[in-house]
Amino acid sequence: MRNKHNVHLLLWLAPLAFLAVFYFYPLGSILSLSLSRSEAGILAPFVEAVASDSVRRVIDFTIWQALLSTLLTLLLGLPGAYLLARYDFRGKGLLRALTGVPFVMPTLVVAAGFSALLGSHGWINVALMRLFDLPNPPIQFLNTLAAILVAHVFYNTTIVLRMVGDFWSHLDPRLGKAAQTLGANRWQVLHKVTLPLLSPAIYAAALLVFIFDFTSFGVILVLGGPHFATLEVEIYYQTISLFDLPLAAALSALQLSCTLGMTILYARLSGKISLPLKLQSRKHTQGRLITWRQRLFALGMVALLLIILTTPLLALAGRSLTTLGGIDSPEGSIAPGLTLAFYRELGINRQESLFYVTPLSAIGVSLTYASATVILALILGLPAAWALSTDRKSPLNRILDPLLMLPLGTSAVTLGLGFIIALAHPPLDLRASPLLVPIAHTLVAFPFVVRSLTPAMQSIQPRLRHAATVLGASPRQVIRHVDLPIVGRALLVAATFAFTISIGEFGATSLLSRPEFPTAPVAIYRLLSRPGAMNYGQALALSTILMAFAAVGMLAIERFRIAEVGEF
Amino acid sequence: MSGLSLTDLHKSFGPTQALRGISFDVAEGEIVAVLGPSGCGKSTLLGIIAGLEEPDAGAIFWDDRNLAGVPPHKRGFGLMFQDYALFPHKNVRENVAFGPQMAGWNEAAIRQRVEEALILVGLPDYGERDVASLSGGEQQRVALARSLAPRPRLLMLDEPLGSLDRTLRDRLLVELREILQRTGQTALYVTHDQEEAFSLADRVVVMNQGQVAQIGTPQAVYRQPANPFVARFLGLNNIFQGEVHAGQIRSPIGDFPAPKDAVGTITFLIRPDTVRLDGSGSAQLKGLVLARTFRGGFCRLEIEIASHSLVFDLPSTGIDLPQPGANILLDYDPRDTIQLL
Amino acid sequence: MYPKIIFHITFYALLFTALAACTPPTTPEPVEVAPAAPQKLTVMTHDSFAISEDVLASFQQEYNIEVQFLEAGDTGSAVNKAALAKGKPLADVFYGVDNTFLSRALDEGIFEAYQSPLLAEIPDDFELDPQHRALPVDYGDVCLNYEVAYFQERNLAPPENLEDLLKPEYAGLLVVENPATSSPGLAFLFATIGYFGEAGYLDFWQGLVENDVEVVNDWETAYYTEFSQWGGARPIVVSYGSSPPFEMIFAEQPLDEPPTAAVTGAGSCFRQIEFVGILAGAPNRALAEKWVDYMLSPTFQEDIPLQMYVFPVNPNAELDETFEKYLAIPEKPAFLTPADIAARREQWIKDWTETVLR
Repeated sequence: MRNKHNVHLLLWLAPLAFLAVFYFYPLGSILSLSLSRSEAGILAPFVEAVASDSVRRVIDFTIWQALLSTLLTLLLGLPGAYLLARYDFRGKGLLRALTGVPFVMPTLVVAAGFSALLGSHGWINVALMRLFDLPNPPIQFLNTLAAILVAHVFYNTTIVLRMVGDFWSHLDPRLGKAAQTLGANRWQVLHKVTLPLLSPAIYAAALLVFIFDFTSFGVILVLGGPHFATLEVEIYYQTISLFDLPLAAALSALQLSCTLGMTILYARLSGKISLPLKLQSRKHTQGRLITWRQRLFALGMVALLLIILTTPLLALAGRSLTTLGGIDSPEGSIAPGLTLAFYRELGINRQESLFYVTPLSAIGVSLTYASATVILALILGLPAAWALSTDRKSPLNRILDPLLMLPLGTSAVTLGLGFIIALAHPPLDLRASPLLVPIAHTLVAFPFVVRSLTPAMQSIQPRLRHAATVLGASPRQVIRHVDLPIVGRALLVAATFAFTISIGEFGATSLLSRPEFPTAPVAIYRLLSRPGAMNYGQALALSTILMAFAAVGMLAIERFRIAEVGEF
Repeated sequence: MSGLSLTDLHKSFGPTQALRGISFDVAEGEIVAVLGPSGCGKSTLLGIIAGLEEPDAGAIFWDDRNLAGVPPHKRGFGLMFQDYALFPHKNVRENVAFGPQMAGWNEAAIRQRVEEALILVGLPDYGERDVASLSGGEQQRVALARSLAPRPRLLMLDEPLGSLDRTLRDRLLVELREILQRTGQTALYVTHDQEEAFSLADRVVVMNQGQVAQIGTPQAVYRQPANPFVARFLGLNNIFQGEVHAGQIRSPIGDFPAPKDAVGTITFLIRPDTVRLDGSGSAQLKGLVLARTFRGGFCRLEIEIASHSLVFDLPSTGIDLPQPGANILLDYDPRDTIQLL
Repeated sequence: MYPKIIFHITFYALLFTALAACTPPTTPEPVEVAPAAPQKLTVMTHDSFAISEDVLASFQQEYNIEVQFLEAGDTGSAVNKAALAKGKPLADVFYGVDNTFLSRALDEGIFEAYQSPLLAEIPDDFELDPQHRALPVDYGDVCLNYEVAYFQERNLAPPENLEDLLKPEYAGLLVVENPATSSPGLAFLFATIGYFGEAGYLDFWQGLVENDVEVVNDWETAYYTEFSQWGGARPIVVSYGSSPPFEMIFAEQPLDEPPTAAVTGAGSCFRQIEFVGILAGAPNRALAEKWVDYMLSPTFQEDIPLQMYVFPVNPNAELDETFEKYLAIPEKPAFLTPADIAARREQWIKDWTETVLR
């Protein structure tokens, strides 16, 4: 027993050292530095935060919109999960992959997508105006609560589809049939059998969605507009605009403690779904679509998922291929023509600017950072996953598991400032290091890497290793011939996750990247922040390319994924 | 001696003592079955012999060489797991070829050996199959082929037929014995099923709570269990205590003729399979039939004698057996039926 | 089970982390480096900073200095970082603080004074810090832009000044940015305060609300989503005086006239001036001075417009002809002193929020 703890500790050493240096240390530095600026003492900002009506309003709104968003996400995700879990149909892998693309897209691209689709002169409004001869766009979408909710559903439905869907697909359908033979009707089966069995997966998925919605920043700022503020937005506002660092730090700490509570709960729940009841192989749980009712349900569900989760991105891609002159006129009377001009322009640095590197080379930068992130995240994720896979319930693992998730729920503004303050002086002078970006990306990708690897590692029974050993395999050969091949596909999935997350990450990158090495999302942001058709068009074109990368990554994940219970 | 030799092996897991002084030998070419209920330490014993676990005390010898410190992959022992532990990411051929590969055989030799091994287990054309697509019996044969392929000095089999249905098990049992004998394989076979152990092994080691309860040929063990545990484990439950007085055993269920060497307080067994109803015995037992179960070749009668329930097996052909509720008179020969334990 | 492997993994992971931590920033500079080992100068900037390769190269070669740039987010973030790192500066020079953030930078004491000889060439209007801790580099005017075609098609005169925006014919036509989250939004708020005074600006905003003004959080949304020139329905937007010439330069097809124009009537624009300064305690003060001088010299100043979309403060710098022709020069840009801004900014934003958003 003792010995096992030591092994765990050893495995955790590298991941913990990484978190300590690149997460807790910068975060601690910035929080303590900020709080020490408070003239009325360290506690005063907390008192101020708790007493302030406007802060209270912000917290109320943060929780309320997160609850509402989570509910709506479940509303779309659960029937979708049912479809993916219980039926086998052509194009299912593609559907899963497409629904995963939004998750890794930067907010500014998503916002551009939504405005291309639902903006005053987006495709839908223009179509409606032409169809019914309306003088004004009938749909006001941007800057509404609806925009926030829809965008959250857009981003996070894939979490429910994956976590609940995977779990569901391994649940024995005979349990439901058994209940039916005992006299339960379909509703009772759902209510008394299926949902209770699914509940750990549903709760875990809902909690993860809630964490993401709770700490939402870009969606609120760009799509929600000035009338809405979450805690994260308020932290940004207090930091950047008002320079009230003590209050910002108090709010950050508040947000962090909420997130910590949720990640602890999440780690408990996800431990439950990784070692569930007796699971069935997919072959026995999935059927074909036979009755017209099933087909109709599948058709409707697929259509709904595609409409909500892909049309904004398709609208963006469409716009990147059409001349923008067409939307000049408020009547929208000029039919837009097709063009590849924006794509051609991507390889040219017209201004010969040192920093305004061509958008295409920004993709090269993104790929380089993403590769570094993959290496770093795997090196750190493997031992952590190994420790978790041997015994999830060991006291050490129980403490450390939730910590991995914490960076996901930490204010990017705060952490970004912390990076600069804490990592700017010897021995850790990373001010201008190009490693800062992959390090930050690794913090984000880490939990996903660990959670892709752990179930696969758990699936290697010690017996297989023993079998190889008694057949004459040395410890090294056991790793090569047993562990690696079996974990290999999970490794590919984890690597692809890290890669795709890194490609799409914007928040941290914008604070840390070196000006001469902008990533694709940073280049998009730069293009978007300048007037002129070519700039806007190139931003759309580059966004489309980024989307293509994300889609390819998600397809790769689908291909390599082991048909085991995924944890997300 | 040549072969395997175990001396006084001990192993504990926390407060649980899994092995408490196990000693026995397996001669080269011999098939020894370790028989015992689940939890008696059988699997631990295999793990220790294979080198997957370290004994707390005691030693393992092969050809008089102490194996302490020799890692499992260098012992040249094979182990076939209860659940087969086939590599899910390799096909049948790759599974079977694994051992020879690890031993560094050349390609041609490996290919030939895999073919041989698959023919041996009766799956000659299965090489390219996915292991997940095989039935339980087929998986079992692949596992056997895999453990045989590298020609282990000693093959250990851990309940290899445990999860199969009866017909399949009976058939495979015969084949397994044939294969082991044909190849002259030294084998240590672990099972909880006496039938398996008896039909396969040259010698049987009965284990109980980490200790050896009896060692002997299957016939010897069945004919003369060494102690009440072995007797009960073999399904012989008519066990009582008595006092020997003047050539008679006095027991709660009555008096019986005592075997020659019996003195003082003894435990004795009334063998259930040596009684008859034909009036030919030198002694009789009188009782009340409580239940009657048809078991194919024989009938099992539960009979109450002096408020104790005893079980007897009688041939089901020939005479009509009494119904429950009827009185019965059983004939027996004390020399065959009454055994000291 | 396999302590050796665990050891290896842990060891290499730690090694990698340690190497990562200690690796000096050795990314190759895209310019040729002079034979003698160049001295290193670190310049901290905001994320809109840009410079032509040859302009930088000429500086590096002339002084045998290798310049390393440190991007620190948008203007507000960059100033915050500089302020938090005070005493242990992250760089030698900080470029990019503007007059809306100048007081925060000066109050925090992040700069040390440097009276560059080139200040003589620069008009006094731009020099907001008499102690020469922050030296002006460039300026840009935040002005109302409108879509020319929209007003032509409707035979409607475009607005000429701020008061016009309250007229019923311009109802529902204006989109502005939130001053709490957007730099041009804040500048426009300052323009209204400068023009109407502290007593009157909220009434003006109240009027705008009644005339159906739309507020969004950032310039990108205002310009590319809500402005009718791009995907939106509102033909008047708060943007920059330089936006119309840029619409020419970055048009899909060559244009004869810019499709948008700026409103330059009295007090309707706010001038943002960006400053450079030597960070207090800079390790390379001498090099830093050379860089500051270079930023104020015509070579660098002429490079500014096409790289950063703002304009040189040095009148000796020559402008591209598109700018000469189409750049809107406001008649009388609104002006607020950095001290006023520093003292009142939070209150102004709060009051504005109360009036416009609640």
